[in-house]
Formats: sequence, structure tokens, C-alpha cells
Amino acid sequence: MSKRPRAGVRAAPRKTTKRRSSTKPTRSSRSKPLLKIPRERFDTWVLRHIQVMTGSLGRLTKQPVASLLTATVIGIALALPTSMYLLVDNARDIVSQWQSQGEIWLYMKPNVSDLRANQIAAELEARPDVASTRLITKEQAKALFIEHSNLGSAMDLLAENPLPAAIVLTPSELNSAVVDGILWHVREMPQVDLAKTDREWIERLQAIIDLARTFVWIIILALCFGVTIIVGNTIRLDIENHRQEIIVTKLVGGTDGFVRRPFLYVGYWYGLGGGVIALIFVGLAVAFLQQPFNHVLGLFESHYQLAWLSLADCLVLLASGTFLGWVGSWIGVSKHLRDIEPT
Amino acid sequence: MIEFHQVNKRYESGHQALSNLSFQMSAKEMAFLTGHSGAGKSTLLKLIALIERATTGSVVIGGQNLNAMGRAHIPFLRRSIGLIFQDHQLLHDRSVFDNVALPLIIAGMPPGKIAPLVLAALEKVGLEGRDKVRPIMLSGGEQQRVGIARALVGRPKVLLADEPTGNLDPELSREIMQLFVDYHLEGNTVLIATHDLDLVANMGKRVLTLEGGKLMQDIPAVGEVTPQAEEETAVSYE
Ligand SMILES: Nc1ncnc2c1ncn2[C@@H]1O[C@H](COP(=O)(O)OP(=O)(O)O)[C@@H](O)[C@H]1O
Ligand SMILES: [Mg+2]
Repeated sequence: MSKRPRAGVRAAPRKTTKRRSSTKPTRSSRSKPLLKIPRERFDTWVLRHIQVMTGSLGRLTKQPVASLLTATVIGIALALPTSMYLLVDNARDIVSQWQSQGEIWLYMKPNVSDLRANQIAAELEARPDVASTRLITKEQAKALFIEHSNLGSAMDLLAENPLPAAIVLTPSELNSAVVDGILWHVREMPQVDLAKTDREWIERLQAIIDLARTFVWIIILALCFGVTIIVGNTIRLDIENHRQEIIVTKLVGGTDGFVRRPFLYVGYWYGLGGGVIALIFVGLAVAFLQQPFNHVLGLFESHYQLAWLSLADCLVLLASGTFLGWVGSWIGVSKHLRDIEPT
Repeated sequence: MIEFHQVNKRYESGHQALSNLSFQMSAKEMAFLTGHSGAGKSTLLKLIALIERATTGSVVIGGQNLNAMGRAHIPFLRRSIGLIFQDHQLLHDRSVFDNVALPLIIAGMPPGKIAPLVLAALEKVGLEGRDKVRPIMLSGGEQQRVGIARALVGRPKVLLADEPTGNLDPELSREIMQLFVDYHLEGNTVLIATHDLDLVANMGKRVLTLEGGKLMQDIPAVGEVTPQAEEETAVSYE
């Protein structure tokens, strides 16, 4: 753009009139005047762009139903991955807020007696990295089982209590190095059948959410591809419908760029319109989900609130819509415009 | 201004539309191109505007060999040539004004300068006051004149017309022809393809006659002898 001459900088050479005749360039004969390529003034160029931009919007509003349908399809294609992204993002936030209780549960082998378990608990409590221990005897385990499951009566049918004793161990510090150190030690002990932390569940959940995130990104890419195809195909039809206009424009000297421009702006409007519709869809979805979502979270004693898209996210959505519309129309235009030549 | 050197044009269908065609027109010359339907008149005009390309031989316009002209330069060639088509080639979803303004908009002319030029061109072809209507509301003759106004509005050095009086009554045809003569007298090159021999005969201009894609006759303008005249009437029948 900087190459274009600015309006109003031409007045200066007035004073040099005397020299003008002597420095007149010797034009190379006849080809020049016929094929001179005049430069468009910058302000005219800007004005024409604005005209084409509004003109293509006007063209779309002439067929409001068709245009709106196309924009809605694009909107849905954008809203789908956006809401999935939003959901996964919320889930990640929620899980990251879950505090590990930091307890390690050691389940004894069945042949380890309550007495032996109590000794082990005392030994472990002596370790510097262990803050406290609590013994759950076989009887207590049975009571807990009966309380928390409705299989309690089945327990009565068994001659012997099948549940092992357990030790609940609180590390002195809640960092993973300490927890790992204790786990490594207790898993070596012959009496210990199984050692578990709640931390593992959180890690597993996080791993699942990360997987979901990757999946969402794949869907985002696929639907971006879809949006460019939708726009490209719409532009193809648009080009077909404006065949005569393209031919006439080329006949009177329209460059490829000039012919391309209105179609690119149509794609731009489709993309932007699709982005706005996607925002509305996502907004509605969040509004409808907020109540039930917070209710569910309330059950987990979480005060987390379902987050809306941030302002930056909204802008990214609109910008991606517009960009994809532009890319789609560019592909459609470059594939089909060259084929239309006057004959 | 216009030079054809041993030009052959064979369409993809295999049809030989022009054979070994050579002629020259100097700048500021006016000529008619006649011949029966299918003689190759339209094809010849299309080669000048690079709507078609010569199969062999060369077409030179304003000193530029069109064989060497790339796709990107074609629009600028066409801006220097006013084209008038038998089928008008107007845009029916735009006003007469917008149709005539199109070449100026394409050339990047500031909007303030466009309106007076468009209105002047419309007045010249006798369509003053019709600038706001759609071409579809006009008669065939009026549409033809919109096409002529569009071709003239950018004041091209070369004006090519393909059967411009095809749909007009004799009275109007003469008026249109006079318009072309006037444009020629303003110092431009004008080439008109027509099969209306009566009209051509009265004009006293140079007449090129095509037959089966060959140049059969080159009659100089009344009172002039073009140097090519003898040369080209001697073209053999193969
Ligand atoms: N696009 C084309 N493809 C194949 N043949 C063509 C094409 N255009 C014209 N022709 C043929 O070339 C010959 C010359 O056509 P044209 O130049 O239109 O003649 P005129 O204008 O003198 O009537 C005709 O026989 C016509 O059928
Ligand atoms: Mg013809």
C-alpha cells in the first residue's frame, strides 16, 4: 500500500517550469500510451473497497433466507467445537480446584491380623515423612462396608469376615515427592496388599480431560476444514450466478483482483455472520446449562460457576469465523474464477 | 495501430476461422470489416482484444505483440480498446449509469470525475435522462447504444464494434455510424464489423472483406490509396 501515491503531493514541481522542456523524457514510440497502467489513487482505492464490502453485504441481504441459512450452518459448525472446548475447559478448572486430601490408604493382606496391623501403623508413624496414622480394623471395615453398601445382609451369610485391616496414613507434607517416597516404601512391605492415594484419581481424571481436549482440537480442525468447504462451495454457486457480471467485467478490463474482490467480501461476511451466530448459540447453551450445572456442582460441595467465553475467546471466535470465510472464498474463487472467460 | 501478420486461427473444434490473414491499420484510421456470416469477422475482433489468441502468426496492437502478452496484462489492453458487442453484454441488475461507469470504476477513476463523463457519453448516444433505468426496460436499439456509450466513455485509442447496427432501423443505424465517424475524426482507430453492405458503401471508408477466413478484398477509403491495398488483393486462393 505504501507504493500508492498519496493525494495532494503533486503540487510541488511548479517552480521548475523552466527546466521542464529540456528534461522531457524521450518516450519510446507508440506502445507506451496504449498500455500505460495508471495507478489508482489511494483514497479511491479505499473508497472502492468500502463500496465493494457494503455492496456484497447488500447482495447477501437480497436473499436473506439463503444467506442466513448458510451463515447458520457455519455458525453451528463453529458453535459445536466452541461449546465442547468450553466444557472441557470448565472441567479442567474444576478438577484443578479439587484438593487432594493427601491420605494414603494401605490395605493389608487378609492374613495380617489387627494386632500386626496396629504394630505396622506404629512403625510407620515413627517415620519423619508420616504425620499420623489411623487403623481401620477388620471389624471396623465390615461396619463401614455394611453402612455404605446395601450388600450388608450378604455379609452375614459369610462365616468369616473377608475384609482386610487398613491403615490410613497422612504424610507430613503434601508434596508429591514425599507422597511418592512413602508409596515406594509401603509397596515394598510384604504385609501390604495395596496402597492407594486419592491423588491418582485426580491425575486419571486430568489425563482423561487432556485426552478430551486433544479430541476437541481435532474436531475444531475438522470443522474449520468443513467451514472453508461450505464457504468455498457457496462462493462457487455465487460465481456461477454472476457469470455474466464476471464476463462483462473482464471484457471492459477488470483485473482478476477486481473481479475477485466482491466474492472475497461475500466470504468474509459469511464467516463473520457465522461467528456471530456461533456466539449466540454458545451463549444460549451456557445460559440454559448454568442452572443444572451449578446444581450438580453444588452436590459436590463445589462453589464453581460455569464460565462463559472470555472476551478474548469471543474475539478469537469471530476472527476465526471471518478468517475461515475469507480462506474458503479464496479457495472457491481461485478454483472457479479463472474458468470464466469471455468467448 | 493494428497489425495482422499471417494470422491463422483454428478453434479447438478444429474449425479454421481465419487463414493466413495479413493487414495493417494505422492509428486514426477507420475501416469496415464485412463478409458473410461465418466469414470470421467476430473472430478477427476477438484476436485484437485477446478474447481469443492467434494459433499462428502475430497480432500487434500499438506496437505490442499480443503473442508475448501474459494473462495479467490483458485487462490493461482491454482498457485501451472500446468493445461493442452484437449481444450488448450489459449487466441487467444494474442501472444504465452503472453499466456505462463500469470501465471508469475498473480503471480506478475517482468517483467525482465519473458522473460527468458517464452523463456526457449517454448524451452522445441520445440516451440522456435514461441513466437511472435498468437496461431491460430499454429497446434493443437503446441497449445497443448503452453498450456504445460504455465503449466510448473511457475514450479508448481503439474502438472495435461487432455488428453494432444489427438490431437498428436504417435511420438509427446511420446516426450510430456517424457517431463512429466522429470518434474516428477525433483521432482514434475505429474498426467495425458489419454485413450491412449498403451502409458501408455510403460511408466511403476503407473496407476489408473476409470470406471463409481469408481476406478477399481491401478497398481503400475514397480518395486514399493504402499501401497494402494492392498487396492484399493479390492474396491467392490457396
Ligand atoms: N468458439 C468457437 N469454437 C468453434 N468454432 C467457432 C467459435 N467461434 C466461431 N467459430 C466458427 O468460426 C467461424 C467464424 O466465426 P465468426 O468469427 O463468428 O464469423 P462472423 O462473425 O463473420 O459471422 C464460424 O464458422 C464459426 O462457426
Ligand atoms: Mg459475428
